[in-house]
Amino acid sequence: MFILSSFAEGVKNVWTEKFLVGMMFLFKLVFSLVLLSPLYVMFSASFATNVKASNLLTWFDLSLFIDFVYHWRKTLSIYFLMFILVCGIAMLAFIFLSGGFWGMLRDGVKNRGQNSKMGRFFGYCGKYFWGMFKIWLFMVVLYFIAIFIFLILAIVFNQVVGKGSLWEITSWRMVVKFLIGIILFFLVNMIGDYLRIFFIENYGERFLKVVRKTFKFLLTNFFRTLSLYYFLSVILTIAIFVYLGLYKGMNAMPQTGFFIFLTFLIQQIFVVFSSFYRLVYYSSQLVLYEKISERTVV
Amino acid sequence: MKSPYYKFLLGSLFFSFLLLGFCLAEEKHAPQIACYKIDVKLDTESKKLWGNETLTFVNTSKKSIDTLFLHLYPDAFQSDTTTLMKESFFPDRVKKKEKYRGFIKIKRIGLTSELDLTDKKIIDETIMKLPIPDPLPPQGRIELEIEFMVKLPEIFVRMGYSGEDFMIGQWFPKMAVLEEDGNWNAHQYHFNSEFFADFGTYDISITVPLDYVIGSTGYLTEERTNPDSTKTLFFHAEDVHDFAWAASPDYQISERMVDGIKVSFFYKPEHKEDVDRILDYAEFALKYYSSCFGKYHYGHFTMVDTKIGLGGGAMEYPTLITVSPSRVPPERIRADALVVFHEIAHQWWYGMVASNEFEEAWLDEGFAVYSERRALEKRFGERANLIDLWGIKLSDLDFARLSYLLDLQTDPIVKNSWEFRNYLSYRTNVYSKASLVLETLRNYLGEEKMNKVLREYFQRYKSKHPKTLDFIQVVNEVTGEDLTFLFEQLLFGTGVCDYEVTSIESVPLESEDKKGRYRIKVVVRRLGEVVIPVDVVIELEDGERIEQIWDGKERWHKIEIETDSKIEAALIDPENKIALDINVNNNSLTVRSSDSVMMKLSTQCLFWMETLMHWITCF
Repeated sequence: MFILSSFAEGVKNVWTEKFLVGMMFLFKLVFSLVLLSPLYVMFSASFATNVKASNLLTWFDLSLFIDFVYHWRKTLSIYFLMFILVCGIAMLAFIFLSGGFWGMLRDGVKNRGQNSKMGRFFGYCGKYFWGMFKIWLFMVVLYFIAIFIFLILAIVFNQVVGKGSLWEITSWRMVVKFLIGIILFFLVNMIGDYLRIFFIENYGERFLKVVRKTFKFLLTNFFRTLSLYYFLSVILTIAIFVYLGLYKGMNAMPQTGFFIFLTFLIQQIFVVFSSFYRLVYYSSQLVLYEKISERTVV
Repeated sequence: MKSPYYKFLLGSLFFSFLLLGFCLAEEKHAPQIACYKIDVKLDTESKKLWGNETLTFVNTSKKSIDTLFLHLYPDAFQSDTTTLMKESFFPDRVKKKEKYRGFIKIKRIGLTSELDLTDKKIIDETIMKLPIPDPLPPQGRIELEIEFMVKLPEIFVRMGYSGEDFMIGQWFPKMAVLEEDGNWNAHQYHFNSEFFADFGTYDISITVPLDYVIGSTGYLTEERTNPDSTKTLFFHAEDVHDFAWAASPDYQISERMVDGIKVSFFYKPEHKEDVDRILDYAEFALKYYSSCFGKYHYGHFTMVDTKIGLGGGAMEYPTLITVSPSRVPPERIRADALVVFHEIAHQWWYGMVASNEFEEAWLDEGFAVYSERRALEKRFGERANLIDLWGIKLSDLDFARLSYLLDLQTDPIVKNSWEFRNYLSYRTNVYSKASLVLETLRNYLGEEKMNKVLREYFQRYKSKHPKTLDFIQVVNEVTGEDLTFLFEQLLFGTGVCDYEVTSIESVPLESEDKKGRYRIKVVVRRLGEVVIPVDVVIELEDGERIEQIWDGKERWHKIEIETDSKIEAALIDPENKIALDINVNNNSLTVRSSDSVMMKLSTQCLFWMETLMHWITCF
């Protein structure tokens, strides 16, 4: 019940702060458009007046793309640098925005809204930026540790059950390894979320103390926190499969302007949903934290 | 007392066996120039071969010779400063490793047991010159007796050991090729180069520990167990120009008869589940190439499962190839099929038509890539015959074009293997570009005529050493056209081929009598140096198609025609016959709206970028 009520309240809070979904979507859209613009220019120069480009409507004609890559190779190498740079800036921008998301959602949970929404949002962005940056760095380290643990587990697993086929995704060995990887990824991601919760709840405290508190909380409430995370992830997985089914269906349609536009709409709805759902992750975990904390105090 | 009936019975029996023997014995196709009898013992502990070789050589040149040239290929591994090592792209720290050291030691060489020439030999790295006491006249025969020892390196380039397994190729003192003019065609063992040798008969006896299994060139005639816990296996091979073998205590054997050819796969137990697939591919390739190019003329074909490494996992020898089943899903990435089809194609273009791989490697490798592509297309279709994974579709042709674009103009195709600028240039030209030249030729001639060309080339030069000009001559004869100008540009030049539709225009005609008609103007250009006649197609709005052929001799060409309808599109080389065209994106221009294409590409990319941004939010 704890899990379900946290999820339901989480969804409700995000719905109340709908503009956060808009901010998250805008973040994705703006940076994606920045990355897309040069590509669009290159595509236009290569495919816009090319009779054979119509192949690309029905299948990925690699012969066209081989030549595309070769003839834009100098521009593409610059584009690649730009790509890295834009991704770096996007990462910083998200670290900045994440303070706002967490701060606003925390206020939602505690019903603390008093100033204008935008003012408060950007206020939190600025206030929490440095702390969020430190958490991001810490997370990078955690991800490396998780990869290391995964490799060790994979080696042990290979020793016990044999190597099998490297790419055989249908083999049970690959499924087991994939699950181990997913569990580790979720675990690190979840730690990151609770670190942010503890950071904003204990703002001003030393970082190491926040880390210690977070781990203590996670260890004492391991089952509940992990259950909520997995519950949220199951719903997300279902949503992804629904999207993939729709996308596949759209691709089977004749590739006219109408159906391409419809595919575009489905994709953008999915992006909006994923933005919404990312915030539901944050919010539901905040609710769970509040509930556990209240119970501990009582 | 024996009755005449018994005599008749015995006589009939004897005659039947004789007849059977003749039937079973393979028909000799090749001139027997260099024949070998070798007794070799493999010491699996010290990784050494101890051999006694009797080499019979016939002078087929027009001149007498006083010196013999032999290859000592294992000496390429004697230090990190040999030609092979210097030319290899491996870093110095790898080349210097002691485990990669190997060599051959000639303990004794002579014409008979009395006439010892050991002190007369002159060794220059991997080439041994041996002055002989009496000149050998044309058609004269000489018999050499050689005692040698080979220290095997850990497998590095084609030969050596890996744990308890052995891949033994280029291992014995081997006669160089004597040209018709009396000059020796003997080159050092170069990193980029494979091999060239004369045909002959090989009788090889190999002694190994009892638990070892051997897969080799030729076929097994006898097996004897020795008192010292070893066994000796006797192999025989005819009409071949090399002998290689692989030995492992783990080998298991699976066999299949394919149109009278005994196909054997010596595989490692961990690849048990791959056996049927590999045998299926081999069966398909042997049948398909036989139908396209001419009959495989041996009664046996062997595949050995060896360690993946340079040449360890994909190398060709007469009637033998090395295959290492890959660990990728075979129904998605056809790496195994590629290797099997490619190496089996070598049986035609290296094994039976023995071109000179030192000096004109494209005649083997380019033909093998072309043949492998035909087989992949026949078996898996045209679009995704190499990779069909997660929506990525790659064909063998795409792969060759991609490789070609990586290094366009460094070297021509026909060049001594070791004179290419680097390994990339060698591979690009000899494998990819050469196969694209043949692909272009096929597209112009059509499948049937191309097969006729290749069949004629195969029949004419089977068991011979053809050169590039011989192939061109066959093409010209079979097609009835002189295509030398094409080959001169493509094989001996470094120019590229790039045709472009530069502009299209419809101008309404003003005069009264031509009201409602248009002057269509199409400008096409040749951006590259290579001149190939090319099709130009003009598509009009009313659906009419106007086809022209431009000889491509000028740098540009303007087509002007009066029509009743406006132009919709112009295409140059609309069927992509010129596989060597380095940019197919400029092969057409259209006034037709391509909004859908741009919309699809842009929306798809936007979604991928947004997904990437979503991943950023996970950190």
